[in-house]
Amino acid sequence: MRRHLIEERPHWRATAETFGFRFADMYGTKYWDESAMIAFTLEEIERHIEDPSGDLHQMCLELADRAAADERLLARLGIPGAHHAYVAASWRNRAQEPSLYGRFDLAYNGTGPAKLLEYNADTPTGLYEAAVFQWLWLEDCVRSGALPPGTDQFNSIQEHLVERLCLMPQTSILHVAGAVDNVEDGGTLSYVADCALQAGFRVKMLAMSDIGLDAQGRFTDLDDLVIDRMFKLHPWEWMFGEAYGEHLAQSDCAMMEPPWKAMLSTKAILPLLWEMFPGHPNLLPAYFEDDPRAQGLRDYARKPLFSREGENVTLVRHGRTETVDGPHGAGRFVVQAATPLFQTRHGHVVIGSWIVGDTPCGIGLREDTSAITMNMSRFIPHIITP
Amino acid sequence: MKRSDFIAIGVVCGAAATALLWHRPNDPGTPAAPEEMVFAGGSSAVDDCVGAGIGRNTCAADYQRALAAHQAQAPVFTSAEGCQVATDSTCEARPAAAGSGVSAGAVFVPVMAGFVLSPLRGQTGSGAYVSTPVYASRTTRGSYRALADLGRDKDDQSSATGGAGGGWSSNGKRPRPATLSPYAPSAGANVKTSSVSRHGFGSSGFGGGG
Repeated sequence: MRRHLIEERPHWRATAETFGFRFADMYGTKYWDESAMIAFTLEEIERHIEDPSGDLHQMCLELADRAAADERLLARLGIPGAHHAYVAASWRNRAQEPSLYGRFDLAYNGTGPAKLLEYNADTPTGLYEAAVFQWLWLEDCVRSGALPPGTDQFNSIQEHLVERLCLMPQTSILHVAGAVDNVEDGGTLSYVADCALQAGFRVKMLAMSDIGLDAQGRFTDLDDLVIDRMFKLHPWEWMFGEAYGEHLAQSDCAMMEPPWKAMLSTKAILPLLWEMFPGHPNLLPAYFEDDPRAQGLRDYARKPLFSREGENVTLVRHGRTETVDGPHGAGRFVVQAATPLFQTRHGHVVIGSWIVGDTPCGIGLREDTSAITMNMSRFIPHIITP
Repeated sequence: MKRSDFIAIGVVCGAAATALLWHRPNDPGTPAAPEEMVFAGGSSAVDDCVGAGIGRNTCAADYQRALAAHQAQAPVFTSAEGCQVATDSTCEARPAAAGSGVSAGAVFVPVMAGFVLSPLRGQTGSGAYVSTPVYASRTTRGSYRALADLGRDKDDQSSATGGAGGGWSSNGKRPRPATLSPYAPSAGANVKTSSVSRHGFGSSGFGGGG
Protein backbone atom coordinates (compact mmCIF):
# COMPACT_ATOMS: atom_id res chain seq x y z
CA MET A 1 0.00 0.00 0.00
CA ARG A 2 1.65 3.19 -1.19
CA ARG A 3 0.63 6.73 -1.96
CA HIS A 4 1.74 8.00 -5.39
CA LEU A 5 1.50 11.42 -6.95
CA ILE A 6 -0.07 11.36 -10.40
CA GLU A 7 -0.93 14.01 -12.93
CA GLU A 8 -4.55 15.13 -12.97
CA ARG A 9 -6.44 14.49 -16.19
CA PRO A 10 -6.72 17.86 -17.93
CA HIS A 11 -10.41 17.34 -18.73
CA TRP A 12 -11.57 15.81 -15.46
CA ARG A 13 -13.85 18.67 -14.50
CA ALA A 14 -15.61 18.44 -17.88
CA THR A 15 -15.95 14.70 -17.38
CA ALA A 16 -17.40 15.33 -13.92
CA GLU A 17 -19.90 17.71 -15.49
CA THR A 18 -20.89 15.17 -18.15
CA PHE A 19 -21.46 12.44 -15.62
CA GLY A 20 -23.34 14.60 -13.16
CA PHE A 21 -20.65 14.64 -10.46
CA ARG A 22 -21.79 17.92 -8.96
CA PHE A 23 -19.91 17.70 -5.69
CA ALA A 24 -16.35 17.24 -7.00
CA ASP A 25 -15.77 20.50 -5.13
CA MET A 26 -17.58 20.99 -1.85
CA TYR A 27 -17.69 23.84 0.64
CA GLY A 28 -15.32 25.79 -1.60
CA THR A 29 -12.58 23.21 -1.58
CA LYS A 30 -11.58 20.19 -3.62
CA TYR A 31 -13.31 16.96 -2.61
CA TRP A 32 -12.34 14.72 -5.52
CA ASP A 33 -8.53 14.73 -5.54
CA GLU A 34 -6.82 12.86 -8.37
CA SER A 35 -3.45 14.47 -7.81
CA ALA A 36 -2.65 11.35 -5.81
CA MET A 37 -3.64 7.71 -5.70
CA ILE A 38 -3.17 4.78 -3.38
CA ALA A 39 -1.68 1.65 -4.92
CA PHE A 40 -2.43 -1.78 -3.44
CA THR A 41 -1.23 -5.25 -4.25
CA LEU A 42 -3.89 -7.81 -5.12
CA GLU A 43 -2.95 -9.69 -1.98
CA GLU A 44 -3.59 -6.62 0.17
CA ILE A 45 -6.99 -6.13 -1.40
CA GLU A 46 -8.15 -9.73 -1.30
CA ARG A 47 -6.66 -10.97 1.95
CA HIS A 48 -6.68 -7.83 4.04
CA ILE A 49 -9.71 -5.87 2.85
CA GLU A 50 -12.16 -7.99 0.84
CA ASP A 51 -12.16 -11.15 2.96
CA PRO A 52 -12.27 -9.32 6.31
CA SER A 53 -15.13 -7.15 5.03
CA GLY A 54 -17.12 -10.27 4.23
CA ASP A 55 -16.33 -11.68 7.68
CA LEU A 56 -17.33 -8.45 9.42
CA HIS A 57 -20.60 -8.40 7.51
CA GLN A 58 -21.41 -11.95 8.63
CA MET A 59 -20.52 -11.06 12.23
CA CYS A 60 -22.89 -8.10 12.04
CA LEU A 61 -25.68 -10.32 10.72
CA GLU A 62 -25.09 -12.68 13.63
CA LEU A 63 -25.39 -9.78 16.05
CA ALA A 64 -28.62 -8.66 14.35
CA ASP A 65 -30.00 -12.19 14.56
CA ARG A 66 -29.37 -12.28 18.32
CA ALA A 67 -30.66 -8.78 18.92
CA ALA A 68 -33.91 -9.35 17.03
CA ALA A 69 -34.77 -11.98 19.62
CA ASP A 70 -33.53 -10.07 22.67
CA GLU A 71 -35.19 -6.85 23.85
CA ARG A 72 -32.29 -6.12 26.19
CA LEU A 73 -29.84 -6.24 23.31
CA LEU A 74 -32.08 -4.02 21.17
CA ALA A 75 -32.11 -1.47 23.98
CA ARG A 76 -28.30 -1.59 24.24
CA LEU A 77 -28.13 -0.98 20.48
CA GLY A 78 -30.14 2.18 21.01
CA ILE A 79 -33.44 1.09 19.39
CA PRO A 80 -36.33 2.90 21.14
CA GLY A 81 -38.69 0.49 22.91
CA ALA A 82 -41.66 1.58 20.79
CA HIS A 83 -39.88 0.29 17.67
CA HIS A 84 -38.49 -3.02 18.93
CA ALA A 85 -41.30 -5.05 17.36
CA TYR A 86 -41.03 -3.18 14.04
CA VAL A 87 -37.27 -3.74 13.80
CA ALA A 88 -37.45 -7.38 14.89
CA ALA A 89 -40.29 -8.13 12.44
CA SER A 90 -38.25 -6.62 9.65
CA TRP A 91 -35.36 -8.94 10.47
CA ARG A 92 -37.64 -11.99 10.36
CA ASN A 93 -39.00 -10.76 7.03
CA ARG A 94 -35.59 -9.90 5.60
CA ALA A 95 -36.10 -12.02 2.49
CA GLN A 96 -38.76 -9.48 1.48
CA GLU A 97 -36.92 -6.49 2.97
CA PRO A 98 -33.39 -7.00 1.72
CA SER A 99 -30.52 -4.66 2.41
CA LEU A 100 -29.03 -2.81 -0.55
CA TYR A 101 -25.72 -1.60 0.77
CA GLY A 102 -23.45 -0.54 3.61
CA ARG A 103 -19.94 0.78 4.12
CA PHE A 104 -17.38 -0.39 6.64
CA ASP A 105 -14.78 2.17 7.59
CA LEU A 106 -11.51 0.32 8.06
CA ALA A 107 -8.11 1.27 9.41
CA TYR A 108 -5.44 -0.43 7.33
CA ASN A 109 -1.92 0.68 6.56
CA GLY A 110 -0.53 -2.23 4.58
CA THR A 111 0.65 -4.16 7.61
CA GLY A 112 -1.39 -6.33 9.92
CA PRO A 113 -5.12 -6.97 9.74
CA ALA A 114 -7.58 -4.20 8.85
CA LYS A 115 -9.51 -2.95 11.86
CA LEU A 116 -13.18 -1.99 11.90
CA LEU A 117 -13.60 1.67 12.89
CA GLU A 118 -17.35 1.79 12.29
CA TYR A 119 -20.15 0.55 10.08
CA ASN A 120 -22.29 2.95 8.05
CA ALA A 121 -25.02 0.39 7.63
CA ASP A 122 -27.97 2.70 7.03
CA THR A 123 -27.15 5.93 5.18
CA PRO A 124 -23.65 5.64 3.74
CA THR A 125 -22.58 8.22 1.17
CA GLY A 126 -19.50 8.50 -1.00
CA LEU A 127 -21.10 5.86 -3.20
CA TYR A 128 -21.09 7.60 -6.58
CA GLU A 129 -17.48 8.70 -6.46
CA ALA A 130 -16.35 5.21 -5.42
CA ALA A 131 -18.54 3.28 -7.87
CA VAL A 132 -18.44 5.56 -10.91
CA PHE A 133 -16.00 8.42 -10.95
CA GLN A 134 -13.13 6.39 -9.59
CA TRP A 135 -13.84 3.73 -12.22
CA LEU A 136 -13.91 6.33 -15.01
CA TRP A 137 -10.66 7.80 -13.73
CA LEU A 138 -8.89 4.46 -14.03
CA GLU A 139 -10.31 3.76 -17.50
CA ASP A 140 -9.12 7.19 -18.62
CA CYS A 141 -5.66 6.76 -17.12
CA VAL A 142 -5.14 3.35 -18.72
CA ARG A 143 -6.43 4.63 -22.06
CA SER A 144 -4.13 7.63 -22.04
CA GLY A 145 -1.13 5.56 -20.98
CA ALA A 146 -0.76 7.36 -17.66
CA LEU A 147 -1.15 3.97 -16.00
CA PRO A 148 0.10 0.69 -17.49
CA PRO A 149 -2.28 -1.81 -19.09
CA GLY A 150 -3.40 -4.39 -16.57
CA THR A 151 -3.76 -1.82 -13.81
CA ASP A 152 -6.88 -2.80 -11.89
CA GLN A 153 -9.18 -1.51 -9.17
CA PHE A 154 -11.32 -3.16 -6.51
CA ASN A 155 -14.62 -1.89 -7.84
CA SER A 156 -17.64 -3.75 -9.13
CA ILE A 157 -19.93 -1.70 -6.89
CA GLN A 158 -22.35 -0.52 -9.56
CA GLU A 159 -22.62 -3.93 -11.16
CA HIS A 160 -23.65 -5.34 -7.78
CA LEU A 161 -26.04 -2.48 -7.04
CA VAL A 162 -27.92 -2.96 -10.31
CA GLU A 163 -27.95 -6.72 -9.91
CA ARG A 164 -29.27 -6.42 -6.34
CA LEU A 165 -32.01 -4.00 -7.39
CA CYS A 166 -32.86 -6.26 -10.31
CA LEU A 167 -33.82 -9.08 -7.97
CA MET A 168 -36.16 -6.97 -5.84
CA PRO A 169 -39.92 -7.00 -6.42
CA GLN A 170 -40.61 -4.19 -8.89
CA THR A 171 -44.40 -4.09 -9.03
CA SER A 172 -44.34 -0.59 -7.51
CA ILE A 173 -42.51 2.63 -8.13
CA LEU A 174 -39.32 2.95 -6.09
CA HIS A 175 -39.61 6.26 -4.25
CA VAL A 176 -36.16 7.68 -3.56
CA ALA A 177 -36.35 10.08 -0.62
CA GLY A 178 -33.93 12.26 1.28
CA ALA A 179 -32.29 15.66 1.30
CA VAL A 180 -32.57 16.03 -2.47
CA ASP A 181 -31.37 19.65 -2.34
CA ASN A 182 -28.21 18.83 -0.40
CA VAL A 183 -25.38 18.54 -2.91
CA GLU A 184 -23.81 15.39 -1.47
CA ASP A 185 -26.95 13.51 -0.40
CA GLY A 186 -28.71 14.63 -3.59
CA GLY A 187 -25.85 13.11 -5.55
CA THR A 188 -26.19 9.79 -3.77
CA LEU A 189 -29.98 9.83 -4.20
CA SER A 190 -29.73 10.55 -7.93
CA TYR A 191 -27.19 7.81 -8.35
CA VAL A 192 -29.34 5.24 -6.55
CA ALA A 193 -32.29 6.35 -8.71
CA ASP A 194 -30.13 5.83 -11.79
CA CYS A 195 -29.11 2.32 -10.72
CA ALA A 196 -32.76 1.47 -9.96
CA LEU A 197 -33.74 2.65 -13.45
CA GLN A 198 -31.11 0.43 -14.98
CA ALA A 199 -32.45 -2.45 -12.90
CA GLY A 200 -35.89 -1.92 -14.40
CA PHE A 201 -37.62 0.09 -11.66
CA ARG A 202 -39.80 3.08 -12.19
CA VAL A 203 -38.35 5.74 -9.92
CA LYS A 204 -39.61 8.90 -8.31
CA MET A 205 -37.48 11.20 -6.19
CA LEU A 206 -38.83 13.33 -3.40
CA ALA A 207 -37.71 15.30 -0.37
CA MET A 208 -38.08 13.47 2.91
CA SER A 209 -40.19 16.30 4.27
CA ASP A 210 -42.60 16.08 1.32
CA ILE A 211 -43.78 12.61 2.33
CA GLY A 212 -47.44 12.64 3.37
CA LEU A 213 -49.80 10.35 5.21
CA ASP A 214 -53.27 9.12 4.19
CA ALA A 215 -56.19 8.26 6.47
CA GLN A 216 -55.15 4.61 6.57
CA GLY A 217 -51.68 5.52 7.82
CA ARG A 218 -49.91 4.88 4.53
CA PHE A 219 -47.15 7.16 3.28
CA THR A 220 -47.90 9.19 0.16
CA ASP A 221 -45.98 11.16 -2.44
CA LEU A 222 -46.83 14.62 -3.77
CA ASP A 223 -49.22 13.10 -6.34
CA ASP A 224 -51.10 11.34 -3.53
CA LEU A 225 -49.90 7.94 -4.67
CA VAL A 226 -49.27 5.42 -1.90
CA ILE A 227 -45.54 4.79 -1.40
CA ASP A 228 -45.13 1.00 -1.47
CA ARG A 229 -41.35 0.83 -1.61
CA MET A 230 -38.91 3.53 -0.60
CA PHE A 231 -35.18 4.08 -0.59
CA LYS A 232 -34.47 6.66 2.09
CA LEU A 233 -31.24 8.49 2.85
CA HIS A 234 -32.53 9.52 6.25
CA PRO A 235 -31.21 7.75 9.34
CA TRP A 236 -33.49 5.33 11.18
CA GLU A 237 -32.77 6.95 14.53
CA TRP A 238 -34.16 10.19 13.12
CA MET A 239 -37.23 8.55 11.58
CA PHE A 240 -38.09 6.79 14.83
CA GLY A 241 -38.22 10.11 16.65
CA GLU A 242 -40.08 12.15 14.04
CA ALA A 243 -43.84 12.79 13.81
CA TYR A 244 -44.52 9.95 11.35
CA GLY A 245 -42.34 7.55 13.32
CA GLU A 246 -45.39 6.11 15.06
CA HIS A 247 -46.92 5.18 11.68
CA LEU A 248 -43.92 3.21 10.42
CA ALA A 249 -45.09 -0.20 11.59
CA GLN A 250 -48.56 0.14 10.03
CA SER A 251 -47.47 1.91 6.85
CA ASP A 252 -46.99 -1.30 4.84
CA CYS A 253 -44.06 0.41 3.12
CA ALA A 254 -40.98 -1.64 2.27
CA MET A 255 -37.99 0.48 3.23
CA MET A 256 -34.44 0.44 1.98
CA GLU A 257 -32.29 0.27 4.01
CA PRO A 258 -34.74 -1.95 5.91
CA PRO A 259 -35.59 -1.26 9.57
CA TRP A 260 -33.38 -4.14 10.71
CA LYS A 261 -30.35 -2.12 9.56
CA ALA A 262 -31.10 0.22 12.50
CA MET A 263 -29.59 -2.51 14.67
CA LEU A 264 -26.25 -2.17 12.88
CA SER A 265 -26.00 1.54 12.10
CA THR A 266 -24.92 2.46 15.60
CA LYS A 267 -21.52 2.51 17.24
CA ALA A 268 -23.08 0.29 19.91
CA ILE A 269 -22.17 -2.63 17.62
CA LEU A 270 -18.49 -1.99 18.39
CA PRO A 271 -18.57 -3.10 22.06
CA LEU A 272 -21.18 -5.77 21.30
CA LEU A 273 -19.12 -7.32 18.50
CA TRP A 274 -16.07 -7.26 20.78
CA GLU A 275 -18.18 -9.03 23.40
CA MET A 276 -19.31 -11.69 20.91
CA PHE A 277 -15.97 -12.11 19.14
CA PRO A 278 -13.32 -11.12 21.70
CA GLY A 279 -9.87 -10.79 20.20
CA HIS A 280 -11.06 -11.06 16.59
CA PRO A 281 -8.20 -9.76 14.41
CA ASN A 282 -10.43 -7.26 12.56
CA LEU A 283 -11.96 -5.76 15.69
CA LEU A 284 -10.57 -3.25 18.17
CA PRO A 285 -11.26 -3.51 21.90
CA ALA A 286 -14.38 -1.43 22.56
CA TYR A 287 -16.68 -0.81 25.52
CA PHE A 288 -19.68 1.23 26.43
CA GLU A 289 -18.43 4.30 28.25
CA ASP A 290 -20.02 3.26 31.55
CA ASP A 291 -18.22 -0.11 31.44
CA PRO A 292 -15.32 -0.04 33.94
CA ARG A 293 -13.09 -1.72 31.36
CA ALA A 294 -13.30 1.45 29.27
CA GLN A 295 -11.01 3.06 31.85
CA GLY A 296 -8.28 0.61 30.88
CA LEU A 297 -7.84 2.06 27.39
CA ARG A 298 -4.99 4.53 27.27
CA ASP A 299 -5.22 5.57 23.60
CA TYR A 300 -8.80 5.59 22.41
CA ALA A 301 -11.56 7.19 20.39
CA ARG A 302 -14.75 8.21 22.20
CA LYS A 303 -17.72 8.12 19.82
CA PRO A 304 -21.43 8.88 20.24
CA LEU A 305 -23.79 6.00 19.38
CA PHE A 306 -25.20 8.10 16.55
CA SER A 307 -23.19 10.68 14.65
CA ARG A 308 -21.89 11.30 11.16
CA GLU A 309 -18.77 12.77 9.59
CA GLY A 310 -16.76 12.48 12.80
CA GLU A 311 -19.05 14.76 14.78
CA ASN A 312 -18.56 14.66 18.56
CA VAL A 313 -15.69 12.19 18.24
CA THR A 314 -12.79 12.62 20.66
CA LEU A 315 -9.44 11.00 19.96
CA VAL A 316 -6.99 10.57 22.84
CA ARG A 317 -3.47 9.45 21.91
CA HIS A 318 -0.23 9.74 23.85
CA GLY A 319 -1.99 11.98 26.35
CA ARG A 320 -3.11 14.42 23.63
CA THR A 321 -6.77 15.06 22.91
CA GLU A 322 -8.42 15.98 19.59
CA THR A 323 -12.15 16.67 19.42
CA VAL A 324 -14.58 17.40 16.61
CA ASP A 325 -17.59 19.45 17.68
CA GLY A 326 -21.08 18.44 16.77
CA PRO A 327 -24.70 18.24 17.80
CA HIS A 328 -24.65 14.69 19.16
CA GLY A 329 -23.06 15.38 22.55
CA ALA A 330 -26.05 14.32 24.64
CA GLY A 331 -26.65 10.55 24.21
CA ARG A 332 -24.58 7.50 25.05
CA PHE A 333 -20.97 6.99 24.00
CA VAL A 334 -18.69 4.08 23.26
CA VAL A 335 -14.94 3.99 23.74
CA GLN A 336 -12.78 2.15 21.20
CA ALA A 337 -9.05 1.49 21.30
CA ALA A 338 -7.12 3.80 18.96
CA THR A 339 -5.29 2.29 16.00
CA PRO A 340 -2.89 3.83 13.49
CA LEU A 341 -4.32 4.79 10.10
CA PHE A 342 -2.35 4.76 6.86
CA GLN A 343 -0.40 7.97 7.22
CA THR A 344 1.80 10.09 4.99
CA ARG A 345 2.82 13.71 5.25
CA HIS A 346 -0.35 14.47 3.28
CA GLY A 347 -2.64 13.06 5.93
CA HIS A 348 -4.49 10.01 7.18
CA VAL A 349 -6.41 7.60 4.97
CA VAL A 350 -9.53 5.65 5.96
CA ILE A 351 -10.78 2.82 3.75
CA GLY A 352 -14.49 2.71 3.03
CA SER A 353 -15.26 -0.90 2.11
CA TRP A 354 -18.58 -1.32 0.30
CA ILE A 355 -20.93 -4.22 0.88
CA VAL A 356 -23.75 -4.62 -1.64
CA GLY A 357 -26.23 -7.25 -0.57
CA ASP A 358 -23.84 -9.60 1.21
CA THR A 359 -20.87 -9.07 -1.09
CA PRO A 360 -17.80 -6.88 -0.53
CA CYS A 361 -17.34 -5.34 -3.96
CA GLY A 362 -15.19 -2.22 -3.82
CA ILE A 363 -13.52 0.51 -1.82
CA GLY A 364 -13.35 4.30 -1.66
CA LEU A 365 -10.59 6.10 0.18
CA ARG A 366 -10.81 9.35 2.08
CA GLU A 367 -7.79 11.34 3.16
CA ASP A 368 -7.90 13.93 5.90
CA THR A 369 -5.24 16.04 7.54
CA SER A 370 -6.92 15.18 10.84
CA ALA A 371 -6.89 11.64 12.23
CA ILE A 372 -10.68 11.97 12.57
CA THR A 373 -12.22 11.68 9.09
CA MET A 374 -14.75 14.45 8.56
CA ASN A 375 -16.89 15.78 5.76
CA MET A 376 -14.01 17.99 4.62
CA SER A 377 -11.83 15.03 3.82
CA ARG A 378 -10.78 14.38 0.22
CA PHE A 379 -11.65 11.34 -1.88
CA ILE A 380 -8.59 9.87 -3.58
CA PRO A 381 -8.73 7.04 -6.14
CA HIS A 382 -6.94 3.72 -5.80
CA ILE A 383 -5.42 1.11 -8.07
CA ILE A 384 -4.30 -2.49 -7.85
CA THR A 385 -0.85 -2.69 -9.34
CA PRO A 386 -0.47 -5.17 -12.21
CA MET B 1 -10.04 -8.57 -12.75
CA LYS B 2 -11.32 -6.90 -9.59
CA ARG B 3 -13.34 -4.27 -11.40
CA SER B 4 -16.33 -4.34 -13.71
CA ASP B 5 -15.43 -4.17 -17.36
CA PHE B 6 -18.47 -2.09 -18.15
CA ILE B 7 -20.80 0.30 -16.36
CA ALA B 8 -23.62 2.43 -17.74
CA ILE B 9 -24.06 5.87 -16.29
CA GLY B 10 -27.14 8.02 -16.54
CA VAL B 11 -26.58 11.72 -16.34
CA VAL B 12 -27.28 11.92 -12.63
CA CYS B 13 -30.56 13.69 -11.97
CA GLY B 14 -30.65 14.54 -15.66
CA ALA B 15 -32.72 13.20 -18.48
CA ALA B 16 -32.52 9.57 -17.52
CA ALA B 17 -33.83 10.11 -14.03
CA THR B 18 -36.78 12.31 -14.90
CA ALA B 19 -38.12 11.59 -18.34
CA LEU B 20 -38.73 7.87 -18.21
CA LEU B 21 -41.12 7.68 -15.39
CA TRP B 22 -44.01 8.89 -13.41
CA HIS B 23 -47.39 7.79 -14.63
CA ARG B 24 -48.56 4.85 -16.59
CA PRO B 25 -49.43 5.69 -20.15
CA ASN B 26 -53.17 6.40 -20.42
CA ASP B 27 -53.33 5.22 -23.97
CA PRO B 28 -51.97 1.73 -24.44
CA GLY B 29 -51.51 2.50 -28.14
CA THR B 30 -51.58 0.00 -30.93
CA PRO B 31 -51.64 -3.55 -29.62
CA ALA B 32 -48.45 -5.44 -30.22
CA ALA B 33 -48.50 -8.33 -32.61
CA PRO B 34 -49.79 -11.26 -30.55
CA GLU B 35 -46.61 -13.23 -30.91
CA GLU B 36 -44.52 -10.40 -29.45
CA MET B 37 -44.62 -9.45 -25.78
CA VAL B 38 -43.17 -6.14 -24.64
CA PHE B 39 -42.34 -5.64 -20.99
CA ALA B 40 -41.61 -2.00 -20.34
CA GLY B 41 -42.98 1.24 -19.03
CA GLY B 42 -46.16 0.29 -17.21
CA SER B 43 -44.43 -1.29 -14.28
CA SER B 44 -41.00 -2.81 -14.07
CA ALA B 45 -40.04 -4.94 -17.02
CA VAL B 46 -39.23 -7.99 -14.96
CA ASP B 47 -42.41 -7.80 -12.88
CA ASP B 48 -44.57 -7.29 -15.95
CA CYS B 49 -42.97 -10.41 -17.34
CA VAL B 50 -43.70 -12.31 -14.12
CA GLY B 51 -47.26 -10.97 -14.30
CA ALA B 52 -47.60 -12.57 -17.72
CA GLY B 53 -47.13 -15.96 -16.12
CA ILE B 54 -43.43 -16.42 -16.86
CA GLY B 55 -41.21 -17.46 -13.95
CA ARG B 56 -39.19 -14.76 -12.19
CA ASN B 57 -35.85 -16.40 -12.89
CA THR B 58 -36.70 -16.74 -16.57
CA CYS B 59 -37.81 -13.11 -16.70
CA ALA B 60 -34.67 -11.93 -14.92
CA ALA B 61 -32.56 -13.93 -17.39
CA ASP B 62 -34.49 -12.48 -20.33
CA TYR B 63 -33.93 -9.02 -18.94
CA GLN B 64 -30.22 -9.68 -18.55
CA ARG B 65 -29.99 -10.98 -22.12
CA ALA B 66 -31.68 -7.85 -23.43
CA LEU B 67 -29.40 -5.71 -21.28
CA ALA B 68 -26.36 -7.48 -22.69
CA ALA B 69 -27.63 -6.87 -26.23
CA HIS B 70 -28.23 -3.25 -25.33
CA GLN B 71 -24.73 -2.83 -23.95
CA ALA B 72 -23.11 -4.47 -26.96
CA GLN B 73 -25.26 -3.15 -29.77
CA ALA B 74 -27.10 0.03 -28.83
CA PRO B 75 -26.21 2.87 -31.19
CA VAL B 76 -23.59 5.23 -29.83
CA PHE B 77 -23.52 8.96 -30.41
CA THR B 78 -21.09 11.70 -29.61
CA SER B 79 -23.79 14.08 -28.37
CA ALA B 80 -26.94 13.61 -26.28
CA GLU B 81 -28.94 15.68 -28.72
CA GLY B 82 -27.84 13.70 -31.75
CA CYS B 83 -28.77 10.54 -29.92
CA GLN B 84 -32.23 11.80 -29.01
CA VAL B 85 -32.99 13.00 -32.54
CA ALA B 86 -31.80 9.83 -34.21
CA THR B 87 -33.40 7.36 -31.82
CA ASP B 88 -36.42 9.31 -30.53
CA SER B 89 -35.40 8.06 -27.07
CA THR B 90 -34.07 9.59 -23.91
CA CYS B 91 -30.31 9.14 -23.88
CA GLU B 92 -27.69 8.66 -21.21
CA ALA B 93 -23.93 9.03 -21.05
CA ARG B 94 -21.62 6.07 -21.19
CA PRO B 95 -17.84 6.12 -20.84
CA ALA B 96 -16.19 5.83 -24.24
CA ALA B 97 -14.53 2.49 -24.77
CA ALA B 98 -10.80 2.36 -25.25
CA GLY B 99 -9.92 2.68 -28.90
CA SER B 100 -13.25 4.20 -29.87
CA GLY B 101 -11.55 7.36 -30.99
CA VAL B 102 -13.63 9.51 -28.67
CA SER B 103 -11.33 11.53 -26.47
CA ALA B 104 -13.63 13.33 -24.06
CA GLY B 105 -14.50 10.15 -22.20
CA ALA B 106 -18.25 10.08 -22.87
CA VAL B 107 -20.58 8.85 -25.57
CA PHE B 108 -24.38 8.74 -25.52
CA VAL B 109 -26.73 5.82 -25.92
CA PRO B 110 -30.52 5.53 -25.71
CA VAL B 111 -31.90 4.39 -22.34
CA MET B 112 -33.18 0.84 -22.41
CA ALA B 113 -36.79 0.81 -21.19
CA GLY B 114 -37.42 -2.91 -21.10
CA PHE B 115 -37.40 -5.90 -23.38
CA VAL B 116 -39.45 -7.64 -26.02
CA LEU B 117 -39.79 -11.37 -26.37
CA SER B 118 -40.16 -12.38 -30.02
CA PRO B 119 -40.51 -15.87 -31.43
CA LEU B 120 -37.49 -17.12 -33.31
CA ARG B 121 -37.96 -16.52 -36.99
CA GLY B 122 -40.17 -19.23 -38.49
CA GLN B 123 -40.75 -20.84 -35.13
CA THR B 124 -43.92 -19.14 -33.92
CA GLY B 125 -45.69 -21.45 -31.53
CA SER B 126 -42.61 -23.52 -30.78
CA GLY B 127 -41.92 -21.66 -27.56
CA ALA B 128 -38.48 -20.61 -28.74
CA TYR B 129 -38.00 -16.88 -28.52
CA VAL B 130 -35.35 -14.18 -28.28
CA SER B 131 -35.18 -11.29 -25.84
CA THR B 132 -34.06 -7.92 -27.16
CA PRO B 133 -34.10 -4.42 -25.67
CA VAL B 134 -36.80 -1.83 -26.35
CA TYR B 135 -36.63 1.95 -26.09
CA ALA B 136 -39.38 4.36 -25.09
CA SER B 137 -40.50 6.79 -27.76
CA ARG B 138 -40.23 10.44 -26.80
CA THR B 139 -42.80 11.55 -29.37
CA THR B 140 -45.35 8.74 -29.00
CA ARG B 141 -46.06 8.32 -25.32
CA GLY B 142 -46.42 4.75 -24.17
CA SER B 143 -44.89 3.33 -27.33
CA TYR B 144 -41.65 1.48 -27.70
CA ARG B 145 -39.22 0.63 -30.42
CA ALA B 146 -37.05 -2.43 -30.78
CA LEU B 147 -33.27 -2.16 -31.02
CA ALA B 148 -33.40 -3.11 -34.72
CA ASP B 149 -35.69 -0.17 -35.47
CA LEU B 150 -33.67 2.62 -33.93
CA GLY B 151 -33.21 5.15 -36.71
CA ARG B 152 -31.21 3.20 -39.18
CA ASP B 153 -31.64 1.35 -42.43
CA LYS B 154 -31.12 -2.31 -42.95
CA ASP B 155 -28.01 -1.40 -44.92
CA ASP B 156 -26.37 -0.28 -41.68
CA GLN B 157 -26.76 -3.73 -40.20
CA SER B 158 -23.13 -4.63 -40.66
CA SER B 159 -21.99 -1.73 -38.52
CA ALA B 160 -24.30 -2.57 -35.65
CA THR B 161 -22.07 -5.15 -34.07
CA GLY B 162 -18.70 -4.60 -32.52
CA GLY B 163 -19.64 -2.98 -29.23
CA ALA B 164 -19.72 0.61 -28.07
CA GLY B 165 -18.27 2.92 -30.64
CA GLY B 166 -18.69 0.31 -33.34
CA GLY B 167 -19.57 2.54 -36.23
CA TRP B 168 -22.78 4.26 -35.21
CA SER B 169 -23.10 7.93 -35.66
CA SER B 170 -25.86 10.42 -35.97
CA ASN B 171 -26.77 10.32 -39.66
CA GLY B 172 -29.96 12.36 -39.44
CA LYS B 173 -32.14 9.41 -40.34
CA ARG B 174 -35.39 9.27 -38.46
CA PRO B 175 -36.28 6.16 -36.53
CA ARG B 176 -39.16 4.02 -37.65
CA PRO B 177 -42.49 4.85 -36.05
CA ALA B 178 -42.84 3.28 -32.64
CA THR B 179 -45.46 0.58 -32.61
CA LEU B 180 -44.73 -1.72 -29.71
CA SER B 181 -46.94 -1.26 -26.67
CA PRO B 182 -46.32 -2.77 -23.28
CA TYR B 183 -47.95 -5.74 -21.67
CA ALA B 184 -50.72 -4.51 -19.34
CA PRO B 185 -49.20 -3.71 -15.97
CA SER B 186 -50.30 -5.26 -12.70
CA ALA B 187 -52.96 -3.43 -10.68
CA GLY B 188 -52.88 -2.56 -7.00
CA ALA B 189 -49.49 -0.87 -6.82
CA ASN B 190 -49.10 2.77 -5.75
CA VAL B 191 -52.86 3.29 -5.45
CA LYS B 192 -54.21 6.82 -5.61
CA THR B 193 -55.28 8.11 -2.22
CA SER B 194 -55.76 11.37 -0.31
CA SER B 195 -53.17 12.69 2.07
CA VAL B 196 -54.38 13.93 5.43
CA SER B 197 -51.06 15.46 6.46
CA ARG B 198 -47.55 16.05 5.17
CA HIS B 199 -44.04 16.93 6.45
CA GLY B 200 -44.00 14.28 9.19
CA PHE B 201 -40.44 13.34 8.36
CA GLY B 202 -37.38 15.51 8.11
CA SER B 203 -37.58 17.49 11.33
CA SER B 204 -34.45 15.94 12.85
CA GLY B 205 -32.07 17.26 10.30
CA PHE B 206 -31.18 17.82 6.73
CA GLY B 207 -28.69 15.60 5.00
CA GLY B 208 -28.46 12.37 6.90
CA GLY B 209 -25.82 10.70 4.79
CA GLY B 210 -22.42 9.88 6.12
